[in-house]
Amino acid sequence: MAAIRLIIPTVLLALIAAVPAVGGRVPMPKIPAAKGAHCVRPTQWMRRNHMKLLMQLRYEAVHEGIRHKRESLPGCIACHVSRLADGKYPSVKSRKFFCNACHQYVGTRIDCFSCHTNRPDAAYEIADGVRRPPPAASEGQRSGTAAWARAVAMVAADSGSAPSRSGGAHGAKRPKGHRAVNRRGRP
Amino acid sequence: MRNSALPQIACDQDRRRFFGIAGAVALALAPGVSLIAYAQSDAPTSAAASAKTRWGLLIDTTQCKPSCTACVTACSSYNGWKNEGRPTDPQWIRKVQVSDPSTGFSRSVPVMCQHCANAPCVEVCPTGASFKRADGIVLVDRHICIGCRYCMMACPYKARSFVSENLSGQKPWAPRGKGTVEGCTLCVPRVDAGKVPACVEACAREGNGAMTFGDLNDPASPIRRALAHHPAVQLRADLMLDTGVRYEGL
Amino acid sequence: MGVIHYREIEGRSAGFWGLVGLLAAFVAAGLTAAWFMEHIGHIITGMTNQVVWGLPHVFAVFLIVAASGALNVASIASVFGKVAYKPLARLSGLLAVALLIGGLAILVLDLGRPDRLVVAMTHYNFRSIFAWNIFLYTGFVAVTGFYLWVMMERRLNGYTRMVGTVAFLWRLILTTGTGSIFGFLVARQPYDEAIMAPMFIVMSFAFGLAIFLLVLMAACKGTGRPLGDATVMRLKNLLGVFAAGVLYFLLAFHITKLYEAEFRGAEAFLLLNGGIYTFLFWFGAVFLGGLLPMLLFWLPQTRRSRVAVGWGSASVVVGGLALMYDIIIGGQAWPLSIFPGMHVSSSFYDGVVNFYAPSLPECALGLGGSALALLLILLALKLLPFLPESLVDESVEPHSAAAGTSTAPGAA
Repeated sequence: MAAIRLIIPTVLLALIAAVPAVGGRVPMPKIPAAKGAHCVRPTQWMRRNHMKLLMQLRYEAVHEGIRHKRESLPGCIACHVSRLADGKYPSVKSRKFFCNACHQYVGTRIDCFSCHTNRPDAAYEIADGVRRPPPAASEGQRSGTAAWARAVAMVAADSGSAPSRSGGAHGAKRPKGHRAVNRRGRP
Repeated sequence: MRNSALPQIACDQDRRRFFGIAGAVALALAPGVSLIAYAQSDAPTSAAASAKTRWGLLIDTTQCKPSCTACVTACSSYNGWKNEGRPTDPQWIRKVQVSDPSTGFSRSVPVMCQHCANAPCVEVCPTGASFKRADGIVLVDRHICIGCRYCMMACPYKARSFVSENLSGQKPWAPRGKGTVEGCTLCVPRVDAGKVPACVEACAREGNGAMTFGDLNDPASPIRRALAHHPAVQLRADLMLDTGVRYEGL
Repeated sequence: MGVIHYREIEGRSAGFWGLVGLLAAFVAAGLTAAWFMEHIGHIITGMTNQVVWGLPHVFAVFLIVAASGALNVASIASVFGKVAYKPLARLSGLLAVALLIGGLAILVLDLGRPDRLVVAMTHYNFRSIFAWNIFLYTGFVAVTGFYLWVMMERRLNGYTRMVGTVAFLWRLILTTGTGSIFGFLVARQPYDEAIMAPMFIVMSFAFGLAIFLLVLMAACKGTGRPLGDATVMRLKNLLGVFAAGVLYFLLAFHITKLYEAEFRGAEAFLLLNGGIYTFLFWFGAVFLGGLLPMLLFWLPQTRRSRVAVGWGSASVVVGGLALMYDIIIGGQAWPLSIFPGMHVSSSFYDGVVNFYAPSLPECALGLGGSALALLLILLALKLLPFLPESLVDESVEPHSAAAGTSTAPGAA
């Protein structure tokens, strides 16, 4: 009996350990390139906080009627989703679909696209569609001070009354402490 | 062991103090940073809905042709819903043929969400997904709709539909999906962009121009002037729901 | 009266495990149905945009109503101080919790987005009776669970009356809330009556007690524990009175509706020419739910028969389900009156009687929830001492064994 009690967990552990060994390391996500010159927020900030921004935009659009062209889910899609080599758009389940590239890597499930389309629409296309040089301030982003300021801004956005992640993808109430999501410097 | 624990706490306190200062610096800097970097950022295309406005529709049933379904087709194509004749298919707007059995008097009227001021669907919704915007438009926030269908039980106009199957190819401005309830939005993205609802536009273009859209609170608006001079009724006026959609000639 | 000894049921026989397996199979079928309903959509059910609540809701509302009624036996003992009911109080509380969980499981799994249950727990619109019910239902499980603890923990026995009173009031409010789900629907003519709330309370008395009697008799028979005539006859008489109460409320409800011209079309549909709904009302609700059990319980030929008590209780359950079907589905089959007095037609089934036929997944979900309730009861009986070792008349109430067999209505 005692032997069996030892063997079973050992075998299970070995199996679990073997899975990544067989498949190798999970490849780093390949993030499809966007069409526009720069995102609506600094890329680093977006990587951490896009969900907070989306929640706020969602609340404002649905409940208050404040809409944006670029700062909206269709706006994101218009910029971030391109046709693949075969001329088709990536499917919602594909790893080549922008949102999935990371979400599948980190094991996050989103259900935005059971209702929202994941195809870009001409109405939300950025007018010129040409990669423009980044705006003035972001040129300095390579310099040490700007990078430091950016890092500090990220800490600020994450600290204190930052919108709670626990709200998940579902909160409709204006996210608590939504002011932490800076909208063009408005408090 | 006790001794070694002390510096640990001191270290923690130091770390906390550092983060406190960093946070204060960040708070002072952060707005400026994003202001500079995103001065060219995306300005809203619409202002917040305001209670000063109450959007409404006036339907002149004397001008509505029984054979015309321009409003229904326009709604369907703009919002991306399809009626294939099944009882599970959504119908955000429909033409109802009404006749008086004793006199034979008949009318054809489009019926959709009446955008009530005292909407029963809003009252019964357990999560608050069914809500009324400040400007009187009654909507479903599908992000928090759990699909209980109590609003469909409560609506006196049968204005709500339930999505019973997986969808694809939705319109970017009209997201809709399985397991949630939907209905006429008064084409809220169009209204926010300063346009009239798709049905009203189609009625003016292909029909007899039987539909007038406008602000019920504005005494100078065409809808308000028409309502001031012509008799118009609310459907199920006995329920005192104060509907935003009014019918003339019924 | 003597000390009552409670003991877990043995639960080792092939019959016990066979029953567990059967119920588990029904639960599994229900879960499978729910999985398909969530992944494919409600298109695989008979529910449409016309009949938006279907068979799952019939089962769910029936179980939830029965749950609050099942607590009555405990309330009669703790709140109204009738010692003869005391040995049955634990089982009564157990049934209340189990039936409610079964009903809630159906309700939740039928949602369009059951994955968003957390939304229902975090976003509330307090003008909605549904939102109130979320608190009333979960609170009921908590209060009844606490009540059971107080009853079963000797040191806390002193609080039984206090906690029992809270549980009793809670269940009255709960059933008021359930009835009001329909009573508040001004849009639909077959509903829209305040009397629906008290009617649901009386329905709960009958459905809950009928299920209680069936479970009690089955449990005693299955475990070979003696069950005295006094107990059975007392409960049976009470059930007869409750069944009569339901008939009375149905009469008052429909008479009121018939008096108002506005509702006569809907009433004619439900009572005269509604096909299945008319049949379910007269044969199901009135005959099976009321008249037949009363006859079985009180006719001289059958009034002392245990078998008649069993059949009568089963008849109340079947009649209750028929009544729920009639109220929930029949009420939606009748079209909305958007243009009162006018003849209407449209592509959206305006002005026509709506068609509904339950599909297999709906049946599986409804039965699965019911099986879940029974499974919970069965396992709880094995794990904790809910059932007295003996319910012979002398041990229950030594002085009133004769009175208990009295057959006059209301004698209990």
